[in-house]
Amino acid sequence: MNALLHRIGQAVTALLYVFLLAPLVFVVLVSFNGGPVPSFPPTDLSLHWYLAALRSENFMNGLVTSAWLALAATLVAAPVGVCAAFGIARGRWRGRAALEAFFLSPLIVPGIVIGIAVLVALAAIDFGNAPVRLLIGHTLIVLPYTVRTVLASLARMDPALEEAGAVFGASRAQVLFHITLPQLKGSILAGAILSFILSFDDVSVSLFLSSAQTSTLPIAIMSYMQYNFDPSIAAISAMLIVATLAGALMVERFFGLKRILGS
Amino acid sequence: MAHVSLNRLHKSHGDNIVVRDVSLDIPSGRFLTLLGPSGCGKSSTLRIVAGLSQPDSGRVLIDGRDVTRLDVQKRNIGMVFQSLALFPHMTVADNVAFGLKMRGVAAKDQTARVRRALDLVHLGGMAGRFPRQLSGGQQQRVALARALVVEPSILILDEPFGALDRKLREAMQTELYRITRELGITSLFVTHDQEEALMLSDSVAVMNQGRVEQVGSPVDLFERPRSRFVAEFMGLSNFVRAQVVNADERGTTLNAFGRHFEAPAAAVVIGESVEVALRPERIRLSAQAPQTEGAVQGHVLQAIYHGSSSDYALRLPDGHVLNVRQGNEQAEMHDAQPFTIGTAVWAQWQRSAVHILQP
Repeated sequence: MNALLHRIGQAVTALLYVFLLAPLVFVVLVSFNGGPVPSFPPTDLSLHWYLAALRSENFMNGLVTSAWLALAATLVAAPVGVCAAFGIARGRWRGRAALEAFFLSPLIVPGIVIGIAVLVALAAIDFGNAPVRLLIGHTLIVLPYTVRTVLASLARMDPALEEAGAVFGASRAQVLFHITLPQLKGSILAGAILSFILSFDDVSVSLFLSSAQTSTLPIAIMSYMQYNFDPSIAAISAMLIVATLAGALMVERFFGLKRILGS
Repeated sequence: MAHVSLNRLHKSHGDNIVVRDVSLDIPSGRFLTLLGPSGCGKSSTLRIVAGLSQPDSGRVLIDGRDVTRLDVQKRNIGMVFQSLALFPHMTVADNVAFGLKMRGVAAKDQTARVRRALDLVHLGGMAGRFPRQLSGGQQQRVALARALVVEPSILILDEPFGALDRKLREAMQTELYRITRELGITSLFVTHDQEEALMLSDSVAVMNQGRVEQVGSPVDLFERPRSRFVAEFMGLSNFVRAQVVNADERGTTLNAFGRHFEAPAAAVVIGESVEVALRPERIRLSAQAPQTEGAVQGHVLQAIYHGSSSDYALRLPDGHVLNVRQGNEQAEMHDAQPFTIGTAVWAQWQRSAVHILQP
């Protein structure tokens, strides 16, 4: 009986994985298609569409914008997130829980709402610089990841470590730089990698904040798809999938994804 | 090596008073232990001495200098934390060197002193390892070396051996005894383990509900516990109310278990009712009625065999239950042992087994 249940459990798990991964595998397979339209199974194998994708000015401009944007948003969000996490974890004032919820709220608020909100707010003060607009929007959506990873690390850290630092003669600043921050290194890095990936993959916020001149890669892919349908989309998607997977593996290596995704 | 004094320390968290009027003295080079159950205020007292928390009132003096408001960084303290708090991202050598580095000791001297400290705790070969690569006992030694290397005024240890298994704990206790006596370092130790306190300390302060119940040498506390709390903590049992029949400077005569027996001289008044503790290990059992007077007869209610000794519970005719610990090697000479449940036995004791407790 138990063995049977175990088998059924395994089968359900396997099906779930198939359900989750099949579209990704499908895209990757289609991307190797040589023909002019995406077809499955691939008729003749070729890297032709990869070349086409890499030669597309649209995609490459989007890629560069996305990379810079993700990097900038990560670099802004990481220190802000670390400071916020310290305040929330170490503060002894009222309203800490509310502040924590506030900092994590971009996880819950739909990206479209954040996008519209940033757009409307910036329009109200007559601010129209698309790159800065995108940076603000992306910083907002990636901030919770650093806050969360650092909060988790701070909660798990033995408070005696910092006390030991002080007992053995370290000033507050020395404790911070010699003891606390080295303990948080892994979680800050993990938060940063996640931030980068999330910013890089974002569509909903960017949709409202990009302009004709400044467009991110996912937006470029989307607009291309409205008028064309060839395997170059599959090729660029396949590259995105591989890059994202590499990032996720890096986070797993440094921090363990479970600790971020499970609360 | 410094003389450390605690002077009327008070500390409360809200309505909860955690340290009440604690005054203690640790002469230079001596080892004092704060002993008590969890929540008795021993750790709070220790944190005040370390400078990790501030008393509401009272003073901490090191060599006569008031350090109560001195920052923890400047107190020159060596501390072994309950969780050890080794820095996980540093090697053993870097952990030990940390205090020296913060004090601005020259790099060359650091290396030499770290090596000496690690040799002292027999960890010479482990300098390059990380704490997670060491066993529990080795981590303890690193923590100890880190505390000793700075040549602190006082070595503070907060239940450092609680997490170790028995054998390792005993080894570390012996080691700590050797090192502290070898270096002649003033030490403040906190534990809830009575045996550990007795074996390590020059003096022991038993704490209860934030107060020091009794301070004294291990022998003092063990032989002359003043209160029931201390007596219980020292492993005494057999508490009974007795009537003072006679009292003078040579001794006290008490009445309990429906008979008279002798006790050491004490400040008591004839006719008064006092609480008395009887040491289980100083009561002798025998199968036959002994020649001497003052033996009581009872039945074995419970017998627990420990190998070298056995613990018995005797029911006396008046209903009292008497706990007795009997060495089995002696019992064998009287060739009837260990006693089994239901056996009628005679119990007798010297007057040194009797302690009159303060009300």
